[in-house]
Amino acid sequence: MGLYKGTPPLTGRIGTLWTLATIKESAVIEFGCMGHTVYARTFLSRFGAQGSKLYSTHIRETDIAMGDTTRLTKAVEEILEDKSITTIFLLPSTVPEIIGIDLKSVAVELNSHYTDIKFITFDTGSFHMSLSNAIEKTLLSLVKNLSSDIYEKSDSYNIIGSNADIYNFNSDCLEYERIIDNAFSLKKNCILTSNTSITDINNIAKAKINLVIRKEGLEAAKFLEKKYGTPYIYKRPYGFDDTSEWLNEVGKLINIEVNKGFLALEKKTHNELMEPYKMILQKFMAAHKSQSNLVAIGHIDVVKGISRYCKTEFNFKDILLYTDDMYLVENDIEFITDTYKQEFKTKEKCFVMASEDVIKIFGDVGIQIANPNSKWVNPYDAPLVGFRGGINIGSLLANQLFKID
Amino acid sequence: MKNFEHIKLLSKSKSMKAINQLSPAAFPGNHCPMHTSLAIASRIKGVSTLVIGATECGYYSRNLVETSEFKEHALHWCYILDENEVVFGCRKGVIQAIKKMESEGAKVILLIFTCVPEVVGEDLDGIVFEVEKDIKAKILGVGLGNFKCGSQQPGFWKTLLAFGQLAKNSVQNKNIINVLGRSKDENHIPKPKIIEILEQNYEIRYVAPNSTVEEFEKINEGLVNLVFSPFLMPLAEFLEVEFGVPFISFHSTYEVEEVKENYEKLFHILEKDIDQRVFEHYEMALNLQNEVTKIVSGKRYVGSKIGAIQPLPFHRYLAKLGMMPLMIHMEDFYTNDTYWREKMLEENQDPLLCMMVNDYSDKEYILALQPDYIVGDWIGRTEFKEKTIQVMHCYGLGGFELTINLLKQMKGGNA
Repeated sequence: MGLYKGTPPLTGRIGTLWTLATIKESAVIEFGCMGHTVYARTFLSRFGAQGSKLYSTHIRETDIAMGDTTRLTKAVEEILEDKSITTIFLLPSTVPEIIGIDLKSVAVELNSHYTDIKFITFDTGSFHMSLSNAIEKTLLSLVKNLSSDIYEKSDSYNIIGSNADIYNFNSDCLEYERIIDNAFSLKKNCILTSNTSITDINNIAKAKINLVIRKEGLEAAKFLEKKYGTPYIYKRPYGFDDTSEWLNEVGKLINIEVNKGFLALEKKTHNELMEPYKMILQKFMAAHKSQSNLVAIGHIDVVKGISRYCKTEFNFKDILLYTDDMYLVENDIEFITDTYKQEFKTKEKCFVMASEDVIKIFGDVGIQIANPNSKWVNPYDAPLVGFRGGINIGSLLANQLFKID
Repeated sequence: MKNFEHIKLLSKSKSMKAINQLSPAAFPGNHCPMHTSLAIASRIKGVSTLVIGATECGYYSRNLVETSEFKEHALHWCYILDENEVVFGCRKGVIQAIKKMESEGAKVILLIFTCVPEVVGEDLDGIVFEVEKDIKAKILGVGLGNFKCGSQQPGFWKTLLAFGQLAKNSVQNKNIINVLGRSKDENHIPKPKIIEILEQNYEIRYVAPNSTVEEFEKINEGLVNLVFSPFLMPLAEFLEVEFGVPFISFHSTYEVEEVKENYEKLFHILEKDIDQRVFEHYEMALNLQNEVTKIVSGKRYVGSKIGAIQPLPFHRYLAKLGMMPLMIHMEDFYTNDTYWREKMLEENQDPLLCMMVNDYSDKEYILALQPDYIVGDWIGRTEFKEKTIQVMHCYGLGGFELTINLLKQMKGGNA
């Protein structure tokens, strides 16, 4: 890792914790120093990520010296006084990870003692584990460990990959839910993992289709397809065309026709609202060619989706994309290093979509699409994805003009 | 039914290591000392920081730095250990980082060691010693492994103590008095009478978490240090040992006659007759003390969260008023708490010591002791309003004003 002038990238331990933090009927117990859990809780509250109960055992020098996990078993005993908890996720923080505490063995012991409670551990704590790798493993582990054997489908859908680490995850997910509800009259079954519960995950196999909205959800979807025959589609659609195309593909997979009335109404609304945004942006781009490029930095699926949308809808010619996870790079999408971020200080003003820290480097000019974030996010803010997300991006870009010029 | 077998008595506790959590499951728990260390250091103009630890430490703490009004005057970077450095140490990388910081303009650099370098035994002092030979910047270091303490409190006092290293070889000036723990612009906390009196004839230098590097460099010039915060006590003790500057602890003195002795001691150090204006509130404090003693004497109580107040001297005072402490919440065992421990034991007070980290579970423990009162903040404050004595607005006060403020709150809660 090394020296960082700005914010270092997220790693596996945080990825697993944040992914689990939104699951109701569960408790997450971090075996480690409580300061970390306090920090995590604050950040998750800011993002609007709620559901699981987050506890820390804290840890002292003698626990480290003796490799003692008594604190953990005592914490479990007390936490289970809350009868709403049916599953406990055990996570190590850095210190137990370094000294090699075997949480899997502790979980086996606890599972044999508390037979009606599930104790689940994750192999994502090591120092080389990336955020994306950890989220992928966590999502897969959840469906492997918690899905019940249900082979009869109901008129419902799952969304896989709505997680707290993606900026605006709550409102983005609400937009997808709105679209699927209206386009197919399907009911929401399980949102993995934002806005879900252990019961929802138990019933995940009931759904007709799995909508995977981030790459890390693919392994979980493949597992569900193999075991329960649930088809899946992997796409994070932005704007009208992208989303319509996605709906048509979903319709084919589940043999249900898209509600044409809904689609027509969305198109009409989209076209009416987008017209002035597009007009003003086109005028700006014609007059300020050197500033009419776009830099987008964030999750790989977010930047790719935004890039597709901005190319087709606003005719951005020069788009520079970076991913914020070093294991999710693609041919033309590099990992955003600390050095790259610092180099932006000398870059000419342009359209920027990124995290709060990068936007600050660009002189506080930009649209936030990624974390880190210091704001308290309203889960009902306008989305960035889907039909309404496209309109939102249009207005956000139009509002950037005066700041860039 | 909650049991207390895991909690030790004061007589069996000599350091923070002996003070256990009341509940084994922290919810929400206490912040880590890195957080408070960085909060202080990033708000001292001219101080750069290097947080050394895991990604979590670097990621979560950047918000703190971003909100500092002085962020443009210093560098606030972090050094994240990889899996090799966890095994083989991070000495080389940290030294390179320090040199890089100096080359980009850092003049004073605070190294904040968090859990990972602390647990792998990285030698902080060795790094400082080695790098100081090669650079001009002043390097300070604080070891703040969260597993070594119970809360954020050491982050405050260890960082302020580290800034004592900035003191230059100055000559003591008999016209200067340091006030430790209050800021010059602290208008929201009433200024203690003693400061008002002294500032008529002396130059008062305020040393608080938001002082500047230059102010810390001259910190040993004062004739005496008046301490108004537990977070500045270790620094005051250091200045006495290192530079012979005496100190008077106003923050931890409540008993009316002991407050009076503090004033007498101060004027003795100043080599002046005592200014009678300091006694303006003496009668009021004494009457209030007698009045509250009658109300609370013999009452059994649990000491819960009292904020930035040193617990042992505070509870020792309540015991002197006749109250019986059953259990006391402590987030830190301060450097001079061995003194207060002895005092309490001599006065036949031996409460249980614990650290409350789970509001809901702790409530059950507290109620299981069937106390007459709960002194401090707790989650049952509304439900058990009659039993609760809130302790507020005491930080930064001293002298009779501190005593009066506390006694009024006690009387208000019970009269």
